[in-house]
Amino acid sequence: MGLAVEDTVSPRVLAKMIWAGTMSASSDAANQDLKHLANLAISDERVRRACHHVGSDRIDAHQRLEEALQSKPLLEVIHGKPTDVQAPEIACVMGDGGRYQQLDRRSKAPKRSASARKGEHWKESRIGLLASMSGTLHDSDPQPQLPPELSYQAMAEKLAEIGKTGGKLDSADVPPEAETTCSPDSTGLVGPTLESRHVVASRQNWEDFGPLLASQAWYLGFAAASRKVFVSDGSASIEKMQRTCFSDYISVLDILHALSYSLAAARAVSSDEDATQRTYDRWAAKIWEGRVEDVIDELTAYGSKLGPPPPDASGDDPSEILRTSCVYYENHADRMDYPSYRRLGFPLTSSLMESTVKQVSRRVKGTEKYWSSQGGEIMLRLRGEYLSDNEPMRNYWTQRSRDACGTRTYRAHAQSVYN
Amino acid sequence: MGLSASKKQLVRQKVQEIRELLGNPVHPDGRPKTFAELEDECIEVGDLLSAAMLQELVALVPDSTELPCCPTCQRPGEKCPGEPRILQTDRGEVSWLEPSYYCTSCRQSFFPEVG
Repeated sequence: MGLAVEDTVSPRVLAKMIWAGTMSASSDAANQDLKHLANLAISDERVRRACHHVGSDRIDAHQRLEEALQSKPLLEVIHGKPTDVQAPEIACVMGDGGRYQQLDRRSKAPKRSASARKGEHWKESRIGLLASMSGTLHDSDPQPQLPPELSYQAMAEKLAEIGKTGGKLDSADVPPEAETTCSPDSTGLVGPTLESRHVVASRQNWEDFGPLLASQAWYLGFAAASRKVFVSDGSASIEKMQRTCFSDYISVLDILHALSYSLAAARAVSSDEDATQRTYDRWAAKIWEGRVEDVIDELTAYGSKLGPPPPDASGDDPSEILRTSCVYYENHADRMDYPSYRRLGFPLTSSLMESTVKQVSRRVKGTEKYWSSQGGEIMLRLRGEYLSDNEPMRNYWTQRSRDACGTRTYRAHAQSVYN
Repeated sequence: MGLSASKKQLVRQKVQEIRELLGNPVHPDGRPKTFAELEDECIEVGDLLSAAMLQELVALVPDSTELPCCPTCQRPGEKCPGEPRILQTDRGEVSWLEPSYYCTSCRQSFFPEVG
């Protein structure tokens, strides 16, 4: 009948429990949601345990996919795809980190009251977005002029938030709708259309997360796509993952992050708001036109005037800001050929990634939420699955019924250990 | 799974019977029932019907004709008394006796109908 021996609820109820346990703010909230929305009396502990079991299944399944891909011939890994999957027009991969608190209560960690104050429980979660996109391949740059949406007047506050250059907006002030409705063209940029997204989240380090993300991308047909792009904010670890696992993808630096450094530098060299605006708009236009070297030259010239930053310079020191911006542009110049990216129909921002991080974090991040290593991993994986448009959990439920065997799971585990 | 048109028609005929069983949509003092009350009543009936039907269908699932083998060692198992099983479903609890077998070699019970 497609039931596991240990099942105490029907598959339909179990699916609702896992959905609620993953998508509600907490297990307790899941218990309330199930009660009020599905008329089901399921305790929060049962929800937690069910999520643990199903999440472990999903981690095993991901591991099997990763191993299966590694055993394929290299050419197939680079250009192949599963036979029943259609390659997307544009395969877009993005990566970013979220935050959550980890506390393994059984480990010999310092007492919580003392350590929690220091914030040492905060860890980085790794989140990957696999976006299947469609878009026109242009003969020439479809949007050669900097759109007004990226000008100082329109973007100063948003960029200040990204670059932490003293903007007025606080992340807590961003309405929830803004997090979920953010799309590649929400900044007025010409860009591709998002067809579907697949989310992968884990607490593994970037070195281990890369192969996991790459295997999921392969099974979505990404390797066989004719246009492949990797968009990130320029973080060194994410760039390394791109070089290691997505080396045949064109790497694009999120233009909003690039512009945030222009804004910071413009503020550092300008005496008033008008001068800041003029300087920023000039540099933003150059970056938009793919002339980052000109910006680097100007920054270097300003840097020479101000002199090198003192050894103990703070992050607010103008010469230090100039130096940081200059280094950032020098490091990422080869990922800032925006006219070519527009011609290829690529997205220029990682706004989709940013909103996905917020969606993942809504379940796992909170000053009152402490996750065990395993619990955190399980919830991150499940959260990613449920945020994915291709609904991987739907296949899981079908497969779970097919795989149900007549012995208890712990016995099956014991057999595999002792044999 | 979708019901065929003819089966849907038959179910609708049964609905008429149940509706007559429930009587008029008024309270004993003659006050008409509110929509919320009617909705609650209908959902209760639907849940009862679903659970009862599921209970009957589960009992109808045929036993395996061959003596089931142990999933671990593949030797035939010994038939044991059925295990009572209660499952919480979307529409209430369903209970039945789960056919149970015992493998003397592996010293474990197994429940072949489950899978």
